[in-house]
Amino acid sequence: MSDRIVFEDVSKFYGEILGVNRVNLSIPPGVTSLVGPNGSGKTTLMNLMTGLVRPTRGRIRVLGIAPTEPDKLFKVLGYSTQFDSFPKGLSGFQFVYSYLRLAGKDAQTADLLARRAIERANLTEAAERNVAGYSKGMRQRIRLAQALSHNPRVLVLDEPMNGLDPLARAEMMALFRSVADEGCSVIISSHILHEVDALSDQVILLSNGYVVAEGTIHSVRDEIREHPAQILVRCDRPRDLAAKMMESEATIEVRIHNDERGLLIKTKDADRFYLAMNRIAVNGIQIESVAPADDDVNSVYEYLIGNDEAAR
Amino acid sequence: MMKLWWDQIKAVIRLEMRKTFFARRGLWIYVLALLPLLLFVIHAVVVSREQGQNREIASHNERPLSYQDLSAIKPGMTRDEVVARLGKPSVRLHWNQRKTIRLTTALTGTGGVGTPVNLAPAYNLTGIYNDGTVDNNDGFDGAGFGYSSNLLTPNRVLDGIQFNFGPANQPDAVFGAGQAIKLPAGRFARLQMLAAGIYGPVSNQPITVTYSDGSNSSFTQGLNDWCNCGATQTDESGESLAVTMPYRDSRDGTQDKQESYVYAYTFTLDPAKTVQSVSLPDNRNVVVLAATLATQGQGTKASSARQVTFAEVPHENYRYSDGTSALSLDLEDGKVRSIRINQGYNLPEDSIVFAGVFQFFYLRLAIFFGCLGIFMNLFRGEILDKSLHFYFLAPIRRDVLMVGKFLAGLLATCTIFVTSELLQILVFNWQFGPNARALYLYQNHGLEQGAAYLGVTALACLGYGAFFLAAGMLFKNPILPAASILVWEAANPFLPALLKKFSVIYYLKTLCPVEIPTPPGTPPLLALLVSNPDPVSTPVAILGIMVMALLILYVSSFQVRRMEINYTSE
Repeated sequence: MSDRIVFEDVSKFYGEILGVNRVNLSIPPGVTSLVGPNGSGKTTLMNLMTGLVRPTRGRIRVLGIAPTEPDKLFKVLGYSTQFDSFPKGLSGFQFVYSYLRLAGKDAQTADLLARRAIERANLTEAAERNVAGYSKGMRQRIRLAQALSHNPRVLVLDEPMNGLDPLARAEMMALFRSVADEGCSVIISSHILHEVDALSDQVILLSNGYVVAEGTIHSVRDEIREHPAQILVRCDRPRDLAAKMMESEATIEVRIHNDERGLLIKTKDADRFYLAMNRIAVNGIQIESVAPADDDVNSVYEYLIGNDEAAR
Repeated sequence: MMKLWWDQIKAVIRLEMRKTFFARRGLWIYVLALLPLLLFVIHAVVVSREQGQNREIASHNERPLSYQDLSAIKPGMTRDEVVARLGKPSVRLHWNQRKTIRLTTALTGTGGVGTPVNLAPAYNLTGIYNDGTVDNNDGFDGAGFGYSSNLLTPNRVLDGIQFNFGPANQPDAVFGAGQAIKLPAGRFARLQMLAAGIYGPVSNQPITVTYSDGSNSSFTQGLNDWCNCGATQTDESGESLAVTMPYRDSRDGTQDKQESYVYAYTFTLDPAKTVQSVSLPDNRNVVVLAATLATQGQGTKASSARQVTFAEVPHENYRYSDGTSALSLDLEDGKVRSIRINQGYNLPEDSIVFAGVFQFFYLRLAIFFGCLGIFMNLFRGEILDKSLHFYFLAPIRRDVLMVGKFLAGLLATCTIFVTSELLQILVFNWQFGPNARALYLYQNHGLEQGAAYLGVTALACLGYGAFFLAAGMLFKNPILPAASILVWEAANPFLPALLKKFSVIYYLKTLCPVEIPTPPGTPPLLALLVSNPDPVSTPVAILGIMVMALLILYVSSFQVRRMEINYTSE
């Protein structure tokens, strides 16, 4: 069985409105982020891979399973949607438990798995309360518990951090990481870029229904050669270093950092820049750290799609 | 695999049942289901109360009475005759009532003046009978009744004018056929007639007197009914009561205790012209018995003012009972005037009423709309609530999910409607006494009928449920498909034979245990709705519904597999 999620020339139109167009993807295990502004096609892509909508064209396979076979697909996949509605009258526990019974689990197993998943989502205390009385963050967690409850190999999470406070976000991110470390493929959509930046093994950038880039953040960044790299250098004498760096042909722009303890350098040739840095360090300036300043999702997205889109 | 599917179906049913039974928006379904039960409960309570009263009345009877005894009492019987048959009544009410008395104003005999018109050549009906004679003609009213010659007598004098009637038991009156009747030549001031209406009052009837010079005098006259047999008496201008008689004769020789009347009419003529003929309206309900012409100085003009006087007439009400049925008699002046028998139990009639409520309310409306509310919401309701994805994200085949939802709907509707029907049957039987109940249940197929009603209810839920489940998946707005299915079901009797078979009601009508009779005179369209001109056998009907439901579910299984979650477009 394949361990990938594969989209082959997939398009989805809602009448005349484009959902996604000509998507070709092969998503490997690990944490993959779907990044794009609202309306870019993230949810459509997730709904396509879970069979909630059918492609107008193309073929999708999740670990080799067609989304039109929910009885097989959802044995290996859990999906926490953005839909904020629940079957009426259920408590948090009943919500997860009923899902497991629908999956054909016996009462004892369903009870055990439901409690374990709720505990993992840190919602044990509220498990017996009616979902209708939950806060937005709690509803987010119970959906996550449901998606996790049957120990899926693929976890699809649509904007999973919406409505969570900073502490809860950190907890959730740790949870996603641990799930991924257990060998589960985690697909996360978000329009808050810095959240997924630290978490993702790979990103898929979407804009207006098109995949504009995919891969690890670094490899995506490397593909954008026309944009100068930004490098943050921490040192004891930033003004001296700035003068030295301006002598290098690879340097385009140098700015003193606001805290007067570093430089923000733009270069069109990172390799030559690093060679130059080595020479300068020998000349007595104490270099504390050298790190890419734009090797993150936000910057990549800004370069690819433009400031307007990235700012949304 | 089958065990997994069954476990999943049970899980769906558990979820759906909770939603169906306790949903606020489904409360009206309970109202629909329980409405006939409420009616039958009220009816049973009223019947039970009446039975108690009847038993109380019967306990005071001088002797045991049977239903035959009660039904032997006829209108016109005297107080003594009633008491002789039934004994003294245990309940007796009496009062005096002021009554309008119509006075006879025309005297019997001859001696009057005027020129009687010879109507004999125009006689076209026999309207006067000698008492006790049998005649086989249609009588005065076309229904075999006529005036009593003994009461009317051959001649009458009204306001000094002489009127002569035709011979009894022979053609002796003229009904209006638009004919002209020859008048004796001469100059007269008035034409006076004795006549009456049938099924009256008969208003605005044209009467024309033609003169020898070709000119004419036209009149429009209204005529009241000839007997006091239910017709409303109205004040007709130019009409006065001439003769009142206490009974009329039937062609079978008996007397009918209904007052009968002859009215007088006066038409003013042009005294300067010579009369030639009088034309009657073309109306069978206008009948003339006699006519006389008078000159200016002959007789006096009739007046309607003297026809009425008042008197205190003794009234009584007697009540008897055989313990089950009640007899109420109204007596006027010592004679039975009206009779009401309230049968405690009338199994044939009650079972037809029950069948009517079942077929025309419960089956076609309550179950129909109840199934609409439950089955259409199985998918449509969750789309509106934006919670259908909960099911679609579970590892369950969509068609297995659909079957689970359908069975949940079927279980819910059967629980609600079969339970209500069962309670209706119990309440229906409760109104009978133990003997009548045993008679109905064990000898008049009551048990079989009850079982059939329950079965038909369940099959109705199955058939309508399949229709509405499919409609809920296919249509966003339930009103359109619901109206279409309702029209389709209602139009079933008028459809070609092949199309009829694609209807739930077609099979259910066949399975209904009590056929509702269509009385003569029922409009053909209504009769088609009630009757079942093209019945099928019971096994075919049951199989027909099942096959149709399975067919719809099979087609729906393709639709459910194609369904997408796109709440924003709903």
